[in-house]
Amino acid sequence: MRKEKLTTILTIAVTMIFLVGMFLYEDNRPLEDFLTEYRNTVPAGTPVLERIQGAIDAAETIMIRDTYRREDMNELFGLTQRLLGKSILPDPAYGEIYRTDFGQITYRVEKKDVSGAVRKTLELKEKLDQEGIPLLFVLAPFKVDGDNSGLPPHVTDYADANGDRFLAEIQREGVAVLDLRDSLREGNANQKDLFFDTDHHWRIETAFDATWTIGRQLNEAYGFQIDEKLMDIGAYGIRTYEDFFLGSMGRRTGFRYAGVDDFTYIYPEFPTDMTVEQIDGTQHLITRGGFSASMINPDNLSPENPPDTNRYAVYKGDHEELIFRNHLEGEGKILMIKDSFALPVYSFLAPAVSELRALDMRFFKRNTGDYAADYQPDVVIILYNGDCFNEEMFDFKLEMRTENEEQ
Amino acid sequence: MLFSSLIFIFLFLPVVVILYYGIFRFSRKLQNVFLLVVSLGFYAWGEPWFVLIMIGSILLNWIFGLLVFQFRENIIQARLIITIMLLVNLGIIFVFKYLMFTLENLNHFFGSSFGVPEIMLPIGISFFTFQAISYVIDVYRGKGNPQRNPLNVGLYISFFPQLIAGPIVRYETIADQIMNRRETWTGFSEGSTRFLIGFLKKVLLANNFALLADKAFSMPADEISFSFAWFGAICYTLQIYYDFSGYSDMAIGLGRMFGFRFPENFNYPYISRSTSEFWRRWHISLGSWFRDYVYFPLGGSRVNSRKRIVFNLLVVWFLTGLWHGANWTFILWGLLYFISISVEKLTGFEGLRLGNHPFLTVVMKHLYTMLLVIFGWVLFRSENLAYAAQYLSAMLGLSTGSAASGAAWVYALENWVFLAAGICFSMPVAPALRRWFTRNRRNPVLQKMIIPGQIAFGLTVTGLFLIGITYLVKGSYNPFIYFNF
Repeated sequence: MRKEKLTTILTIAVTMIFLVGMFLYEDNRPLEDFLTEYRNTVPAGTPVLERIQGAIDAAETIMIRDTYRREDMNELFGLTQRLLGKSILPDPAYGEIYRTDFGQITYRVEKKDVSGAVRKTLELKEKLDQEGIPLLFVLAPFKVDGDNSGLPPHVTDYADANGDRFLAEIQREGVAVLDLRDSLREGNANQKDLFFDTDHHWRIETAFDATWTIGRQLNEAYGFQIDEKLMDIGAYGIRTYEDFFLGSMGRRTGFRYAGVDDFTYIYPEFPTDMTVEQIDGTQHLITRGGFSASMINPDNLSPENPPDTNRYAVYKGDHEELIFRNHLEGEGKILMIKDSFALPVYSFLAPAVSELRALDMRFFKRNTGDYAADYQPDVVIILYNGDCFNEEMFDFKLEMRTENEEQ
Repeated sequence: MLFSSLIFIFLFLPVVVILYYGIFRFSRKLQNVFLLVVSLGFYAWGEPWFVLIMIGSILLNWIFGLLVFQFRENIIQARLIITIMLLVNLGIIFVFKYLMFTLENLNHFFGSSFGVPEIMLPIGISFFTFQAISYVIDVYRGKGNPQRNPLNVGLYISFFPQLIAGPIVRYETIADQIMNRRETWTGFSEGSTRFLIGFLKKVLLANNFALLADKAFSMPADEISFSFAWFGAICYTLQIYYDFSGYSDMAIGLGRMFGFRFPENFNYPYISRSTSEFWRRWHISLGSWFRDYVYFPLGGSRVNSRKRIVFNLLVVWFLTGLWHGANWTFILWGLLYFISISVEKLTGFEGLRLGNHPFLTVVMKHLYTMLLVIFGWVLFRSENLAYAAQYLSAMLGLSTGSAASGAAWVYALENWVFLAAGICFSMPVAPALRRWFTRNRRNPVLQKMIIPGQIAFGLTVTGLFLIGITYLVKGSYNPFIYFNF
């Protein structure tokens, strides 16, 4: 048999497996998916040629999404890159992602113009000042330390530089600032200790330390009286799941390239009784109970789920609004404007105060200043990580009219 | 639709092959109509309404073919038809490809204020228009009979393997194959293997080089270092070769799968020892098209004066540059080759020897050729002449950028496998191995290696194909460079 004939037979076999597999593999429904995608992207009344183009685009999208064993292909990609010894990988979303000298997977943050974020923050401060509500900006570190990045030598990460410029400018205008980068990176802690290898978030232990750095600041400067005992790790249970978590960065490269993280779940062992309201548009979900009954998503910790389950989101997050009401001891009300780094932070902080509300500017569609004025918290905390300086995160919608004003 | 897309590989191609060799296998006419329909669909996939231009071009040139055949005995009438045909075809290209450029330059240089319309370029317009011109001229020259059936002209012009980026198949090459080709299992398997080789060139090599070249060419030219400028230029040199020759391999292979034999388009151009030789090895179908339809009709080299030869070369290379795009960078790139090839022709460069040093002669000639080719690609890749000048300054160490940066070294180390493979396979390693094997085929050890070798080849190519698919699933860089021409 000539080599071309053998190659052709093998390739035909592979091609047919992919063709048939696309239609028969697990949950794949390419025809239904195509119709759904088409209806979602091509509105009624679209001209014929644009409809055809829409159908073509939908077909291309579904072809990639429903590729037979797509996850395995992603793993094969990662394995190939690992065997090639690559530490810089092409990525459609980030351009490039890197394996750092610390063995972690990350992207890099570009140099950004922070003036818009500064202006919006000062506008919010002005609004809060009118209400007599103090504002505290808390900056969490990005995964890459500007002084010891571990990135390839020609690659510069600007997360710290962006953060430095932003903090300097808002501090000059009188905004109180808590820079967690200093406290968390002091000593021997490097990014390997502070962050997941395969995810862009900080480890839960890091978030725990960050929470009580914030807690002490609240006690010292904002009149809170959080019990020091609650800041001691001894008051908490710690459960570590080994080889349990493939984070957002790792999902892009596959675990054969990135490896898998251990995941540490920290939870209060002291008595808790919380009501949690989870608000997303018109959806309103209320739960009440102890910490594990009301404040977490237990499915995210299920060993039956694969490692690419978002374990980090065991702590509630990515909702428009969350309200945590503490029915036991605790004083003070906090309004937290937050990104995903805050998930474990408000989960640890909420049982220590009387009430905590968390707003996510990516989803929150109302005037944040008016919301704070109505709520009258003892402090407004903005908790963002070093890669936050985009318009969406600082769009506090202060120009929006409230329903009362409209009437 | 891209050859290197999941939808082409796992849906379009298998379905077309199954139907072609299934329900349509009993009728050549039905097979041709089927191939025409899927070819038009293939073309429409990118931008649906452009297919109307294609259909218009097919019908017009079908009529021109019939007319020129009918009046071929009357030289005046025949030439009039040819002239009208050229005006129509070149007019279509002019409107879609050069009108904006022309108006912008008129406004710039003569202070006029023509409105410049936004016109989208139909994919592959230069390729299919050149094939259409070839059809009518070859009929006129008696190198092929006119097709009475417009569907056959449609198939010749729009056949999906070579529709978008060549090779530019001349009508005389393929006229007989439209009705009388022969499909065999051997031909099919050779074709599909050739397609796979092209796929691997494109997805594994060209796309990776593209990421590296884009890094360099996306930097402000005055900030780029000497080393990274060279690195970027070399990566682009490799990218464009594997991108375009990969496409040609895929096109030739696909044609073979359906029984067609297309001409070769590349013959290891980077081993050339002169720019004249480079153009005999690079985009062969375009070079020979200009040679046979422009250079020879102008008199070629068989003219009395050197001035006339130079003029003929100037016309050909100006048009070659312009064919690649409506930008001064392409025109200058064409003129660069006009100068080098004219000098080579007039000085007898290809026969020159450096004293009694044949090896040194080869090395120096190769170095000269590659330097010129690489500088040419920088022009070709640059957005405009100012950027090209700055980039070339960086390569010559004349810019304000640093002499060396870590980036070139880091990316070279990261991609050493691709770079090594890219440089290695740009040389005729495979033909050399084949020749060696043929010479030693009676060797008993080699005899024992035949079957395992074939199995290893099949498994390696299929394995690399799977790895190539992973790159597509990841949505890595993909567009073909020559789609823009």
